[in-house]
Amino acid sequence: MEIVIVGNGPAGVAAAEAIRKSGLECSVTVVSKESEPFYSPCPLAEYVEGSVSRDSLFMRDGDFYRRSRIDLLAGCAAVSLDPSSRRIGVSRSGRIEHLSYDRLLVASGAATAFPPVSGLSGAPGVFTLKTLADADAILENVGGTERAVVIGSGFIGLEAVQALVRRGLKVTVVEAMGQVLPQMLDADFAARVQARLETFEVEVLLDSPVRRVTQGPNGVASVVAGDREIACQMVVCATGVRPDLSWLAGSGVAVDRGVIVNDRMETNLPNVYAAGDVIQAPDWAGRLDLLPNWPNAVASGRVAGASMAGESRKFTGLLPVNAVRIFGQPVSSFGVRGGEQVVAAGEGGAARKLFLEGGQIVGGQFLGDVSGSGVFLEMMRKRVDASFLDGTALSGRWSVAAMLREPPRVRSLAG
Amino acid sequence: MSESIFTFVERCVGCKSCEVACAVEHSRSKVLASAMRETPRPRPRVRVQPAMNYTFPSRCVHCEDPACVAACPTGAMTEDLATGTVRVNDDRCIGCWMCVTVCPFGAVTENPETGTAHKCDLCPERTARGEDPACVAACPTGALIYSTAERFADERRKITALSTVGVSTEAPGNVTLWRSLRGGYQR
Amino acid sequence: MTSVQIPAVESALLSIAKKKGIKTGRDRLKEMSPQCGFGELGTCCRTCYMGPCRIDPFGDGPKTGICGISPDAMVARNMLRETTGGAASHVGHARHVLLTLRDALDGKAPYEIKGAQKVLSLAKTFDVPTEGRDLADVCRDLVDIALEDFGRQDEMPNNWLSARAPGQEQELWKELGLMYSNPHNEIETAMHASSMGNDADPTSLMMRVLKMSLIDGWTGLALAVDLQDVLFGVPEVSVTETAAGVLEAKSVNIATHGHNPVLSEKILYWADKMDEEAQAAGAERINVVGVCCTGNELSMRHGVKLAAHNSQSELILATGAVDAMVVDIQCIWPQLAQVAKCFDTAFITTDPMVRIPDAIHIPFEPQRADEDAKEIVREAIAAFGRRKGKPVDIPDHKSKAVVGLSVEAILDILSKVNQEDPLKPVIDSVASGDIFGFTGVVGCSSIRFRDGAMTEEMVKNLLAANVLVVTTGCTAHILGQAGFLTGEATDKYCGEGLKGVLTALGEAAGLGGPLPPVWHMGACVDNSRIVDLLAAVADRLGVKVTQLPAVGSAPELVQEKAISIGGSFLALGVSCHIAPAPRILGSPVVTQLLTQDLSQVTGATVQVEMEPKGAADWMIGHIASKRAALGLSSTPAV
Repeated sequence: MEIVIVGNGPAGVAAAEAIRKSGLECSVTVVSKESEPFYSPCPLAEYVEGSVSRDSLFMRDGDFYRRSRIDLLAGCAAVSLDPSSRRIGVSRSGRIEHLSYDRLLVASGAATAFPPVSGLSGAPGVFTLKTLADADAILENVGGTERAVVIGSGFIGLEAVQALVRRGLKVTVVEAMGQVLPQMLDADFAARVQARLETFEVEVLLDSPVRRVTQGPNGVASVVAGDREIACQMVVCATGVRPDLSWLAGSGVAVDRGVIVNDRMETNLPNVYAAGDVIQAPDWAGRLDLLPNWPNAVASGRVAGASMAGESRKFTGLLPVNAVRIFGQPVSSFGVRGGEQVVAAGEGGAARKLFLEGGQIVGGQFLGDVSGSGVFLEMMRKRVDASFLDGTALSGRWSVAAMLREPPRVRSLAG
Repeated sequence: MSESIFTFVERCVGCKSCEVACAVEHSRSKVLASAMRETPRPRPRVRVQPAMNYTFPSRCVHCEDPACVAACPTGAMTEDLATGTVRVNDDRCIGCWMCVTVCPFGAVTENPETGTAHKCDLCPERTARGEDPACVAACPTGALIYSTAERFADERRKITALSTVGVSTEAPGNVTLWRSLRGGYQR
Repeated sequence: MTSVQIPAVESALLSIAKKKGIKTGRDRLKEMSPQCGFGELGTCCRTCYMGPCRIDPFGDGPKTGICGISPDAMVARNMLRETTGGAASHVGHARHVLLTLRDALDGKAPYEIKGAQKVLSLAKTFDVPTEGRDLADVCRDLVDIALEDFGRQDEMPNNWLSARAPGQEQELWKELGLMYSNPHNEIETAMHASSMGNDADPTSLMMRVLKMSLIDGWTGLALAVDLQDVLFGVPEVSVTETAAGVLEAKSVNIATHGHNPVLSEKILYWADKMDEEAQAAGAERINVVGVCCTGNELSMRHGVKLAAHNSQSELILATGAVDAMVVDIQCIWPQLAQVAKCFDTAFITTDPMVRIPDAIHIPFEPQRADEDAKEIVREAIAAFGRRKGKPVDIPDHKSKAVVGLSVEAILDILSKVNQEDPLKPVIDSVASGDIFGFTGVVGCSSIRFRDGAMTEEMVKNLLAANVLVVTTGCTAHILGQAGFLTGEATDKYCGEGLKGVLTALGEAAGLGGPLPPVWHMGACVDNSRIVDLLAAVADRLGVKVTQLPAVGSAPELVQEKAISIGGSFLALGVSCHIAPAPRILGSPVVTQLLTQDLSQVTGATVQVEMEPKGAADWMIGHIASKRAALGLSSTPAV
């Protein structure tokens, strides 16, 4: 049995590990267009900032691939899939080779979705912060740079902002929407995050879609966004990610915004599975969704690996969660924003908000104090009646104890 | 089968002895009087919380297939595959709080002083010496036990069995009364 | 369970505090929760250093302390220490008033004798001759009688107890060995007996609790109130206002807080005289308002407006409108100094025993009362100067309240109906069932119960069943704020029988409307007035106090003092409702004693009910059983 995994990120590696854990006798080949062993992209901003070392980005020890009997084909991009012959085409040092598989995992991830703006994608001085190579490129160019513009105020954008500010740059963040973190927070909490960014002298421009990026003699010269032109020597584009589907064209694999999978991570093609940022899968409520984040990548990778190894394991659904820190202040959110609100204010500007529909939690957001927030997420997933929640109950320490229902009670001491 | 901490919630009276013992065990000095003055301040990894008329020592249950381990993007949160114990490696933790965001028990918290995730580690030093974890050793009512899942299930079954043959396993009447009377104001 | 809204004024004050980011007791309670079960059960013993010891209520763990003490003795010993704390507070208060009176008589303290009527009635009680004597001389004799109690080592019965307490009950107390001599000796003995290695018999310890409660009742409450009436006059009926809305944005607001009127009487006196200084500082006037029981004292005698009960004391500071909060003794939350720091409020402690970090301490001595009071008023005016022009948040809420119903004032009203036999109209109404019975709703205001309006809801149920309510302490504030201290409340809440009686009494007294259905009888020390009233009614009927269709309730227990006051009612044979549960549930013996067996001893029991309706129902049932025993109809005519 030959198993081929396209992608060496969290989903690919989790799948490979699940296969090895299952004890299935098979070969495992991991195809990675990057040249590095498995690393985590999540602390890349901290790496750029200098608080996390390059070494600690790597998630496994040097012996991991050998010990796990995983063939890592690094620097090798998948370019095509032919399910009829059960082969994929890969580009290696400019040459196309073919790899046969008995089972294939598509875990090729997502890439930055550049807005269709002239002078942006691929232009000198314009960076992204998705891969280790991206981060290394920023580090090579950040010296002597004074002003930077970050395009997009999602969590990657804001992490890039902080890294650059801590590197001593004056940073402007431009956002096409009317608030920062538009996918994560409502306008109310976003305004508080914006205020915190401004406290750290970040310039925040809302409702400012990027119109063009201009180049000067020494590289990038300015960003024109909304009605402003901001001079800068560096641009980081963080306008969100999109599944990397180009190499699957013509393969017959069903795609929408991502590769469509069921709760066993099976695609419509026999023996072809998918996991990680590339998938469009059932979320916690069973709705097909695209929710690229680390926990979903690992969880879907584990399920995919188990399925490929012939085990019966079901995916519990993509989790709509995100967490980011804004200059040390934790911010997290899950679910959707809308419906009835329950709000609590904590100390030092901390705040929490839950969104309820029909007495059930449908979303939540946390600022400054995220402790216990996972319990609310669990209450959402389990559809626990949360109509008893009020601001008082929401504030303060919170644990699973809150989910215990009220036992019947006597209220008097019989005389 | 490896041992873990289990809770008989009906025996908890909310004295918080477990909290104190946990903080002391995770201090440098391991002595209450000096632990209180240490920086960073030793923090308990178990919190007794109100649960309607009951109290509940809320703590990591070292889940099978732990969400926090899956969610950790730095490899700081790991599960010992042999024992099932879930621990945080402070050196790798960058405080992204993904683990806090996904823990269904509210058992992983932020340690504001170290900026790292904070949770029950099952007292590795104590258990290596063959002792119970600090919270278990400190619990004056036997609400916390250090046992295997099988033995805990046996205990529970025994309680059920006794009650079916008419041996009272209910809390004493005064305890039931006390719980019923405190429900009104316990927040 | 009916769903009840948090009282409006409380809600307004809390939102002000929240808006300003001020943490309140409710926040701290939440942080503190859950609270330790051993403490709540009463089975935590810290008496010696082999301990602390805790009894495992589930039976597998320790069943006794290290020394072998039983959980029953542990509970009883802890309760004795609580009771002693309460009694010591009241006895200390009473002694302070006594020494002030002595110094006043000696010309050493600037106080006059304003209660000539009280001097004469006490002289009669104590067989002090009055014929042809100066009031001051009579008064001096009374002082000597009281002082004798504090110095005696002869084990002879305490003067204030033996002369003031009703006779039949004294006979019982003698039988039970509860009569005491020198209160200080008893406080010493109680602390001694409850220290390590002494009394370990729960019954013996509980008898000590009853004895200590009697000390609270007679050398604490009765002595303090009697002598306060001598110094400051016997309260008369007047109408005032309650709740935080009595603060005035443009005036110098002085909130007097605590329990002992020796200081606040002088503050009020000088505030009246110093309006000009306040006006020079840009204020309209000086507005002295009352908080907690000092507030009740001033209100009873001078109609001073009542701003806040105890659990609101930090909340009214959050209005930013209090220029000075002057405190004397008891129930002063240390937190007040911290809230005061957020504003221009001068938080002034005055008693050497009540020192609070971050407070301004102006030591108050009765001998220098005028100078000290003036200095305090000037601090308040200076604080107003700092505050002037800044925005304040004073809630609109205030309610009218009839106050000042001392026993003398009540008899005065009743005598307008029947000059010869003032109690007769009341007794007739009780016989007919128009007044089904009496409840003393007394004690503290607890944040554990405020949000459910425990006291208000309970009282509504009592009034509907024609139970007349008398009140003191912080519960009086609560009921005042909720509008129960008005004639309108009679129409709104009372059953037909009670409504008729109160309307008739009000018209006879020339009030032009009904008497309120809840009678404000004073501060928490003024519980002795309730005892005097019960004793008078029992005496008139020729029955024991325990036979009366009367019951006590402390629906929002906070302070140790409430335990010792409650004990004094139990000793008298008056059953009491209490919430939350006292710390006795860890002891089957003590629980059984207080909830059942005590009825065989004094005729009284304790009942814990956490819900207002349940509490009222129990009290109504209890009254019904007392009525039945007296041969009266035992179903309330609603």
